[in-house]
Amino acid sequence: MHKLSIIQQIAALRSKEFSSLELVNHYLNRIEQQKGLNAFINLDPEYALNMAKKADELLTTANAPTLCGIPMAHKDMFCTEHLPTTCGSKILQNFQAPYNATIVERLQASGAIMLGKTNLDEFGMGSSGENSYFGPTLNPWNKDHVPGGSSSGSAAAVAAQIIPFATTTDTGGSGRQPASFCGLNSMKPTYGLISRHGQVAYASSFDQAGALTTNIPDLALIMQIMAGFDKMDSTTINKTVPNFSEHLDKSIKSIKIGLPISLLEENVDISVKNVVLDAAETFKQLGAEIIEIDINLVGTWLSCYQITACAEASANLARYDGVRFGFQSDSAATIEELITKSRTEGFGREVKKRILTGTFVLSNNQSEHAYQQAQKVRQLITNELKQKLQEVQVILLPTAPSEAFKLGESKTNSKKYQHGDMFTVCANLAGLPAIAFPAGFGNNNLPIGVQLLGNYLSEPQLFQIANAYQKNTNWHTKFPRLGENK
Amino acid sequence: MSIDLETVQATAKLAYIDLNDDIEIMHNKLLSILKAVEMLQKVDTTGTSPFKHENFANLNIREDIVSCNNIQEKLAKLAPKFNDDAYQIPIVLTNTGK
Repeated sequence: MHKLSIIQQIAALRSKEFSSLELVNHYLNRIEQQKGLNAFINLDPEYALNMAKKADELLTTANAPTLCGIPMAHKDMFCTEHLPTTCGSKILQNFQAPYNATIVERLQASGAIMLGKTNLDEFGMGSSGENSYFGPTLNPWNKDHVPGGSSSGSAAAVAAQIIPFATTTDTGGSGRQPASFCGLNSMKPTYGLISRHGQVAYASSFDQAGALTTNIPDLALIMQIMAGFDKMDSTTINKTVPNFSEHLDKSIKSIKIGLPISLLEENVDISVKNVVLDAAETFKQLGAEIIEIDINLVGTWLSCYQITACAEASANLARYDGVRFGFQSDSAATIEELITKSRTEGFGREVKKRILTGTFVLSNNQSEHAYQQAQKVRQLITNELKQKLQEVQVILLPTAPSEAFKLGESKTNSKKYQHGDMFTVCANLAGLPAIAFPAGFGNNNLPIGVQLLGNYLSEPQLFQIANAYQKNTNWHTKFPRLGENK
Repeated sequence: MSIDLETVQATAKLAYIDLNDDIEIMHNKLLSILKAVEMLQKVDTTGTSPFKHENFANLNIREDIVSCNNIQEKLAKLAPKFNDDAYQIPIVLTNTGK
């Protein structure tokens, strides 16, 4: 059952090849067998089995919604009334959200069944999955390596086929980079396409939800359900969302794809460079036109991201005071001490680093106007990308500059780790959509992905081009060989 | 530009975080962010406005309507300590007897 795509599972449920109860049970068994990956923070099999029974009843009627009876998992960054929402942090270890995030509601209304909440780098801050209070998640392709982050558990679970799909958040590449490390598909949509209501905030002007799937048509289906205006999030775009699936089989003949070839020369593994060049060649064979482009401001991307995203993080995470919700230190004599000790004991080191960075940027005299200047540079970065996207329809980029790091390597090889986001942050800085998909393997036999960056609201075209690639390649059909790993 | 340890401590105080043994790590982190700040200051941004998302011109603002949203019970359940209609914190004011 787990070898079927979501679209095939939907058809099989309707033709009574198997029931939702059998499907949910099958995945719960697989999750149990792969416990060692540490992909989940919380599970509720009993709840899922009850939902499956209800789904099976509904499937006998004509009213069954699209995903009726399909199991899934939420990154533990989305508020759910049912299971705790921890954000991978001690400070929210026992936090029970009083409402569902909008995307949780939408997927639930479409009949999807949440089996559990997946592990992540604390508050979405990290690229390895190692910064979780609940321990690191392992890469199912090679358990000595990380699955990427911050959507580490979602990526490991989908790659191990212990869940058909899982949600992600993507602030600087947190959905796409783990997709690359685990051989999966993910999209960071145009800012405002998907509601952030109930998505715990990291950097509000960057954060967007997405999903991880094993193929592009499944991704188009899931993103379709999640997308659209929400009155609970004033930054959502109030326009009708086009039907993504209608674009999947369109030809890509004469589509212009920009290739910033000079970016592949520095800080990029040779195997990644080769994968990108091979992908360009495939697109060419499919009738697309590959046009070499230069992007001059690429050297500012990471600095601009670090300054602006950390500034927003320091403001967003100010709400964790140990008084109104979350962890409270029990050894404080004054209110200042209570707040300080609760935060010091409750947050992990990476979160503290980013809060401090943001506080410094927003407060220190030496860096006066640093935030304003970074926001102006962010506009210049956006202008440049949009100008390039007038000359070409999409830009082909590596998703990550390397294969998945080894566990612990992020601490010893900090340069490599810091450059991990170098190709993903641009989409978040500019609010543009990007789609990531598998395109090869590296020297360590770990997957390597590429991404396409598109113009404002160009999601239909991104699905079209990525699916054209996938119909003519078989990288997305490769899965890790799993031993039983309790 | 540089940053001394005193500045690191002052920043940590503003953020309500005790650095304990992490002061060196945080010092290095702030030194690296200062380099990023300096790098961006070299970019000519003359005539450029700070970034805004494309859809920010048409934000959907809720109507300004009075509504009853007393959700004390829900919020109280989330709090680590909540008694007598109030969040419980260490004593802020003390009676000195003067």
